[in-house]
This record gives sequence, structure tokens and C-alpha cells, in this order.
Amino acid sequence: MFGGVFGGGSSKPAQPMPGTMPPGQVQMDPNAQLAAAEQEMEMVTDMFARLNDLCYKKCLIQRYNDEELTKAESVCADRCVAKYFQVNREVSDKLAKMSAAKQ
Amino acid sequence: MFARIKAKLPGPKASAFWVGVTSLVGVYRYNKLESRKRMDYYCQRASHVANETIGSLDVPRKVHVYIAVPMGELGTRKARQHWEKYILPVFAAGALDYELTLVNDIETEPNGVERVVRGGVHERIAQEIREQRRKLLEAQEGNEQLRLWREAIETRKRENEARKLKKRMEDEPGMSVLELWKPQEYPHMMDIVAVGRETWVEAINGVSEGAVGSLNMQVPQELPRLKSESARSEGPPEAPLHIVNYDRFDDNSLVALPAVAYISHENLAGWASVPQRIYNFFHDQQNVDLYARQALQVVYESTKRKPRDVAELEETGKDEEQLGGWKDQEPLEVVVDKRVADQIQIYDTQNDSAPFK
Repeated sequence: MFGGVFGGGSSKPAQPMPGTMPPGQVQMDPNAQLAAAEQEMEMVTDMFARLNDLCYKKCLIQRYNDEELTKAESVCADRCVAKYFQVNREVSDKLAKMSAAKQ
Repeated sequence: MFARIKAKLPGPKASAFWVGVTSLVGVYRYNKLESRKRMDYYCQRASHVANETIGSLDVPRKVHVYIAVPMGELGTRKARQHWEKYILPVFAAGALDYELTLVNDIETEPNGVERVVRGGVHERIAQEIREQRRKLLEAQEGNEQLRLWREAIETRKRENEARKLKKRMEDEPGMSVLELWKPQEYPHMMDIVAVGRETWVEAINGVSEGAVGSLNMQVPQELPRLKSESARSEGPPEAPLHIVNYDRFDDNSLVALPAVAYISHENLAGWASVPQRIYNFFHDQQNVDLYARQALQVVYESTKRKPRDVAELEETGKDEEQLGGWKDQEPLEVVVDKRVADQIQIYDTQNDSAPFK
């Protein structure tokens, strides 16, 4: 519904290389850390763009009488963002549990 | 020809059946239509608030809705349905943000009988007002000791959260930093909306106790780590409590109290209410009028006023105690301090004083 947790499936989450790290410890070389940071940045930017687009379409009335938002638009936008993050978090937890169960 | 037509017509009993069924369906559909019209009327009146502009950095008004277990019930399901059907649409139309708290404290006695534990709303409201008073005391000059205590408690809380987060990041290497996001807390004190007489009584008592009660805070001291297995298996010992004495800094002045709104909930419980419930199923318009009008008064801040006297606080919602669910229940009394009764504000929900009629 929200285009996937990781930006529509176009990028994968940073996963530790199998067989190279002891369980429970994160030890990544600088290049991998940089790649992970870039991936995170791309994911955040993509998520922000989707959130912006979704909440704009749902909440903002296409009437431009005033330069400021109305209370209805403001409350709607707050709730839209809060719900988006909450669902994002819950789906991430679910996916993490599923991948942990498969391992 | 008439004989042929008459042969095709249904018999008297079948006709009576179909007329009855069609009438019931018609009455039900008419009721739905009328209820919808009336709800739309109140939502349209509330929408004038939603169309006012607000600055991007301003926080929209928010209220805290409390719902306790209605008398005669063992859960908040019916009260929650009442809220979703009659009150929430008006709040949504008026862009009134809300925080909903369902207080569902049930305990099971040794003989297996479930019992509702009252006082949850009272405790929550009193705790919120006490925290507000503590923060104001800490902000005053000369109360350095309190500020240091607060910093120590906040630091310990932050360290615990950081420790949990670190452990979580070790367990889940793919965890995103987005999961650290938390919604912003409301910067002011939220007005209180009490649904039902039980919630109203607990809310007023909670405001009174929070406003004039003791501010002393019990803080558990840190426990030493358990070294032996036998000590771990016995369970952790009780943490010694340290009492932070706020009362000696308190000058007994009243803080700004939240306004309280009462929205009735005539909960029909028990077998004797079945005929009334069947009637309400086919004729719900009067309920929409009754409850949506009260919700509309909360959407407009102009309906706030001081209570005429303490008796008004005590008598509000007392009609609900005539209902079947209140039989054999312990009576609830409003106990309010005189200073609180003079300062508190209530929403005038029992009269329609909201604009745009």
C-alpha cells in the first residue's frame, strides 16, 4: 500500500554478509558502511517523497484562497504522517521477524 | 380475466407477511436516512471551525477523551461504539484533534467473577495535573534542588532508552533510523472530554485531587545487580523508594486547570432494556440529535463557562443513574475542593450555544 517498506522494492535493506560476522555483532568495513549510509539516505528520501505525495493528495484541498493551511488540513496532515510512520514501523518489525524466523 | 389475476395474487397471510417485512425495512431505511441528515447538519455546523486557517508552526487544538467502563458492562466496547458513531464524526468535521484513552481495568476475583476496578480515569487525570504543577515548581527561581532531581530522573530514563536501542540495533542490523521517530507531544494542557456519568465523576475528582493534592513523588532507587543464581531465581527484591519532597516548595496556588466536558451515554444494559433497544434500532434520530449536539459544543471553545455552583458539578449526568445498569452498583460522588470548583471551567454541552444554527 505504501510502495513497500524499502522504497517499492528498488533497494534492499543493508544486510550483514552471511558467514562473515558473529551473530549479534555488527562489524562492517568502511566501504560497506558508506554503502549502507547511502542506501539509508536513498530510502529516507524516497520515503519522504512518497509520504509528501500521499498526504498532499489525501489532505490538502485544491483551493488556494489563503496562503495558510486550514485546521482540517493541518490535523489531517499530522495524522497522515503519524499513521504512515506507525505502519512503516510495524511492517518493518514484521519483516524483520519473518527474516529472523527464516534464518 | 379477474379470476386469472386473482389466482396469481398472494394469499392474505403472505400479503401480511410481505407488508410487514417491507414496512420494517422501510422504517429502518428512513431512520438511517434521517440520522444521516441530522449528523450531516451537525457536521456542517462544526465544519466552520475546520475551515479556519492556522499557521504552519501552530499546533491545532487537541482534547483528551476519556471513556471508562459503563455501569452494567465489563468492557468499553459499547462506550467505544457510542463514541465512534455519535461523537467522533462531529470532532472530525470540526478538525478537533483528540487523544482517546479507554480505561478498561478489570480484575478477576478468586471465585472467577470479573469485576470492574473504578478510579483509572481519576488517577490518570490527577497524575497529569500533578506533573504540570511539578514542572511549574521546578521552573521557579530558588527551586534548584527540584531541577536537579528532575534532571537526574530524565538522565536515567534517557540512559535506559539508549541501552535498549543499542541492544535492538545489535539484534536487528537492518533497523532503520526512521523507527526512532516519535510524534510531537502536545505543548499545552488538553481539555478533558468525559463520556458518561462514571467518567465525569472520576474526571472532576481527578482534577480536584491533582490540583490541590500532595505533589511528593516516589522514585525507586537503582537496584544492585544480582550475582548468585539463587538470588535471581527468588526474584528481584523490592526497590527502596526515595520520596522527593515537592510539597515544601509548593505555595498552594492553583495552576491553570483543563476545562471538562460531559457527553452523556445512556447505556441500556440488562434484559429490561431490550424493548427500548429495539425501538432505538428503528428510531435512532433522537440519539443523533442528543449526542452530536453535545459533541458540537466541545468543538467550539466559546461554549466554555464557569459552573453556576458546586451542585452543577455534582448533578451533571445524574439522570444516567436511573438506568438499569446502575442497579446494585456503588454510588459515585463528586468530591471537589471549593477553590477548584471556583476556577474550573466546563463546556456547556447540555444547551446548544454553539454558533451557525
